[in-house]
Amino acid sequence: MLPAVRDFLARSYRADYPLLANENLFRWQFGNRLEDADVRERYNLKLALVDGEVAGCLGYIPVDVMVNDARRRGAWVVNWMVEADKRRLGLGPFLMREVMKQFDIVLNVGPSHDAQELLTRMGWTHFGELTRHIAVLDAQGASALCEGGSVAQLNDVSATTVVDAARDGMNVSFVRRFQRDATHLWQQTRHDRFAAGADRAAEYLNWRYADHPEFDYRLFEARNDNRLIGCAIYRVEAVRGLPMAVRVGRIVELIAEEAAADALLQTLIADAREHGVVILDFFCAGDSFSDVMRRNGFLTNNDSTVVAEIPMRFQPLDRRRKGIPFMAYLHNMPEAALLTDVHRWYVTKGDGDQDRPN
Amino acid sequence: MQISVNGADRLYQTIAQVLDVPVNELSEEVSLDSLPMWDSLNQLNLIMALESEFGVSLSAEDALNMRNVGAMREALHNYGATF
Repeated sequence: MLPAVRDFLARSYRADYPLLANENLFRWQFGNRLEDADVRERYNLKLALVDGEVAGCLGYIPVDVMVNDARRRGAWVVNWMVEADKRRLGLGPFLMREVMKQFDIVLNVGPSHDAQELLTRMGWTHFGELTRHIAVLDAQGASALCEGGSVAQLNDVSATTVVDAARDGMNVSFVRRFQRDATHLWQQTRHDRFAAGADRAAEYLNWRYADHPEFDYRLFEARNDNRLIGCAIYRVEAVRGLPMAVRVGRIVELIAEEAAADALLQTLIADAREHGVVILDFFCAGDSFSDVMRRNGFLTNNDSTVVAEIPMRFQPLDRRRKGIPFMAYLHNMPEAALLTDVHRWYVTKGDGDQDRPN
Repeated sequence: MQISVNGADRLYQTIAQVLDVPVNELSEEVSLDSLPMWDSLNQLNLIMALESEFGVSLSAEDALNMRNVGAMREALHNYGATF
């Protein structure tokens, strides 16, 4: 990491901020994923220099974005930060404008309140918050997450449709990495159900999850006669800031044909139970997954005020922040008008840097 | 410096338009600290509007120094702009 960038991060974030403390994480997130050795050492950061010092930065994660059947150059923006005494100088918008000029489409999950306001004024589309689906696996344990312990009123999850994967000719298994056929599965699933989303080719999935330098994601796949029909990914997170040990599970991907989605979710639930998880959640855009999630015992904030009280941040436990907003800058694309329906997007908490060490 | 308020000064007109303030409220001393609407995004909007109006390309360093109207005039003057 460049010393000037390290100094800026040290001034802007707390001392143990993971991107500062873990060089591997920094390289993984901002390093160039291209195979071209000439550019491999280039980092995906826009920097604003004032008197030779970094006064602002904007990180971005380049991704191909599939828009119907077209492939567009896109990027998730992350770590948008300007030193407090220089925020009036326009450095933040300057940095964002540079990224907006560079890509066909720019995306942001989890912008702060101030960032949402600024991006809206810069012409971004606000798609509202990602839908949070929650399965309560252990109501008693989950009550520790909420003030007043009201989750204990809920019943533990029970699927309305229990899938016998073996009987249906499916084989659901834990894998270390995805094979090339994950790319085909993504293409087919996206084509059938979604108008847009960051390209989930096998290479991307393996970089994002199998090769993550800090998180131990659990990857599952469903096959039928050896044909890949579904992928699902989650991780187990130990909650910090509670007197007792509590674990939660975070689903970050569900790319599957209909029948495989049931089998994968039930496998994830069983696996999460084995790991002592008390709740399992999945943030995704719109309502595309509502039916399958509900069938498998997941609720949304709209279904239950008790569920809506379950916090989403656990490093440490933070009961204040609720919801993950999703915004996009679409003006560089001819297909912009087709993308205003949030239900046609495939976006999850795994996009951008929302599922990150804190 | 004498400024003609009634439409002769393109700098004031441009600033007034971007910040949505009356031209007669502007002076060389007006700065981003004195107008609440002169915020981070409007600083960028101002620079883009000035580049377009005066046909110049301002550097990031110019932009950082343009914290009041007088500084904007000086920066534009250095590029040969006429007002």
